[in-house]
Amino acid sequence: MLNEAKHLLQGRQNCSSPISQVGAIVTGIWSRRAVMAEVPHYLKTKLERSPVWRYTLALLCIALALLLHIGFVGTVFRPTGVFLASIVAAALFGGARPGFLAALLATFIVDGYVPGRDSFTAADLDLPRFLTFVTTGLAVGWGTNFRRRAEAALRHSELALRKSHDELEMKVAEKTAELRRSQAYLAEAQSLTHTGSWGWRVATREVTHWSEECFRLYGFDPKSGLPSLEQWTDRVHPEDRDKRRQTVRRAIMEKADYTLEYRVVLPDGATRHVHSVAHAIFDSAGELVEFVGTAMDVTERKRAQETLRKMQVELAHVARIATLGELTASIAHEINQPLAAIVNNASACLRWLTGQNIEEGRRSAALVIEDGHRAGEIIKRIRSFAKKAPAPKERIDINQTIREVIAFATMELETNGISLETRLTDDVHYLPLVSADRIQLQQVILNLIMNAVEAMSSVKEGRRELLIRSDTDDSGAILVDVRDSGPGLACEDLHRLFTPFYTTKPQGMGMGLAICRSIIEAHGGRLWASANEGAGATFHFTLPTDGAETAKRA
Amino acid sequence: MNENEAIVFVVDDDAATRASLENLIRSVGLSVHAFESGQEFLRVKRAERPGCLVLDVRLKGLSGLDLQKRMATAGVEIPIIFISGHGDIPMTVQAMKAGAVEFLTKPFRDQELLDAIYQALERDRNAREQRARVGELQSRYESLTPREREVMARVVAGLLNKQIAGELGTSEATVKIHRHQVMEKMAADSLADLVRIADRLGIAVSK
Repeated sequence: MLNEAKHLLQGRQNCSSPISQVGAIVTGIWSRRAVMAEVPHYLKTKLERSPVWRYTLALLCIALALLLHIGFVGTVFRPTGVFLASIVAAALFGGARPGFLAALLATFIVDGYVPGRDSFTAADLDLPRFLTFVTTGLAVGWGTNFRRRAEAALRHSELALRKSHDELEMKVAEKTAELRRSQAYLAEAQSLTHTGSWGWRVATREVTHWSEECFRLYGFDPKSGLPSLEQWTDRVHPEDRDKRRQTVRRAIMEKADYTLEYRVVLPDGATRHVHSVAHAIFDSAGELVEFVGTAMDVTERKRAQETLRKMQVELAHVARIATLGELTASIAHEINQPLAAIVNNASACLRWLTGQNIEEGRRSAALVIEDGHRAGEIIKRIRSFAKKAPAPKERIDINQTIREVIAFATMELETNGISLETRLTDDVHYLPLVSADRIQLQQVILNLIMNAVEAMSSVKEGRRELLIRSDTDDSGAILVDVRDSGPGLACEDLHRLFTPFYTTKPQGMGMGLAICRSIIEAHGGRLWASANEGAGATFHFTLPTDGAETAKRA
Repeated sequence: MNENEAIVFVVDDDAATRASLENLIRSVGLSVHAFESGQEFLRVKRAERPGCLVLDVRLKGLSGLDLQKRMATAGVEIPIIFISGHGDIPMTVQAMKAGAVEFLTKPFRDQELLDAIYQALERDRNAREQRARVGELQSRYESLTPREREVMARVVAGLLNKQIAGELGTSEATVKIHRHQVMEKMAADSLADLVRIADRLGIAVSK
């Protein structure tokens, strides 16, 4: 405080006009920030908290001014500046009331009584100057106090602001950590489930989001940033690109979500199977903005499915052979009994005859005949059993049956890269229902499809196309064609194909087509094969229709 | 012993096979008795004469292998020739291990069966003789007094008369008399003969 007074003093060495005095006050206030910084902290708090200290301060300020005035200042220049400075100091550090007190005291001292300066008092005492001083004193006190309050409020709100800023910072840090953690969890989950997430903007065709797992899944380097939509497409297996494009185009048109499965070819040539699920995002106007979705690596699952399917096929094959084996064993056993009896009786017959026992010999021969007949009976029985086994017949829509079988065979067709075309005549008037054993018909159709698949899988060049057609023939019977683009059939094969145990396949049993033909014939139809004009072969079968049924439906 | 005394039993549930087997066996002059099932065979009281059993493995009810097992448990000793529609190896092994003479798969050559039958009858005959001899020895052994049996056991164990007397607490002269009695009653010509007889009877050498 003394410093300040000195400071003010030095600044005001030769200023005596009221304007320069106000300038001194302004300077004082301007420099307050620096001064306040120097005031020891405990003193500041004391001043702020205790009124006694503040009033004491006011008194001290005035007393100091008086001392200075009396001591030596008064001789050099007029005392008003020193007193104004002390009022400023009192108001600044003490507040409003100590400021006023200081002003009053100063007024009293300056205008009323200055010890040892009577001449000065008498000479200077005039009303305008007195009023000017009082007003200036009060204004300075008031202004200073106002300023002080404003500064205090500012300081307070600054403090509050800093506090809330700090709180905000902390919250942001917390949230950031939380976000980082949940991102880490998400990344972990994505890597565990081999599921990446992505997003792309429809209008600009730019990729907006591409998760770490996506980078791995599609074989992109995370360092080179988000891939473009073109780069993304380039990773898709060429054969799957059309399918993917169509699905996406339809989704954009319909503004709908889409799911998609396709293969990804990595830069090193490895293939991955990806199952993609996309969700459409709309803006407030309902316009499609973006697709966000996931890409799941289902390679392992695909592989497992493939293995499972292979095993099922093998199992079915083994089961078929086992059934056949069992059937054979049972037939063999049945036939073996009378056969053994025939051998025994014939042997006995020879021995009896050798021993000249004609009667016993004759009896033995009769037994042989009997046993022979018995064997014949058994064969007849097996035959009639095989033939007359009544198949449970139901009225079947052949197109429906074909579709069911195609559903079975889809996987096989896809695996072998065969494109399937169906031309099913769907008019119920033209394609009446047939009375048939559904399972048996499925077996026939499946067998024909599988034969076609096997035939075509041996073809390295050219397209692999399977065409399934249904129609009616001239007689009104249903006609089904299964046409492949395989190596085709030689002329002599066309007839032998349906012979049991005739096969062109290394692992075939040669029973498939024989069984198919017997099933179709049991339904009153025909099954035959023909060579295509181009590549491949066609198998045809007919099924007679129930006339009454057609009429009823028509 | 005469061949005609022998009898061949046949167990087969298939009537035609049964009849053909009967016919074939009879054509070589052997007696046959055929049964439809194992139970039926077990029920019949068989005469004491050499015989064998031609047994079908696959029988309704008691199977051939079960019948074999049951007879073994009951102590019925008769050689068995198995016949089967299709003999698998484990079944054959099981049957042969349990003492079957032969395992034939239908249809078989007549001579195969007949050879097996002759072999089985021969085996049964020998077994019967063996059993008869042991039976005779057994009855001889039973004619010995308890004291004589004690002495015999020690003699075949290779003890000297003096030692036997010491063990039994009697004089050497008495042991000598007992020993003479044993040799006579058991119809043994020498000590070696007696040891053989004891071995056949399964007399434990007690010390």
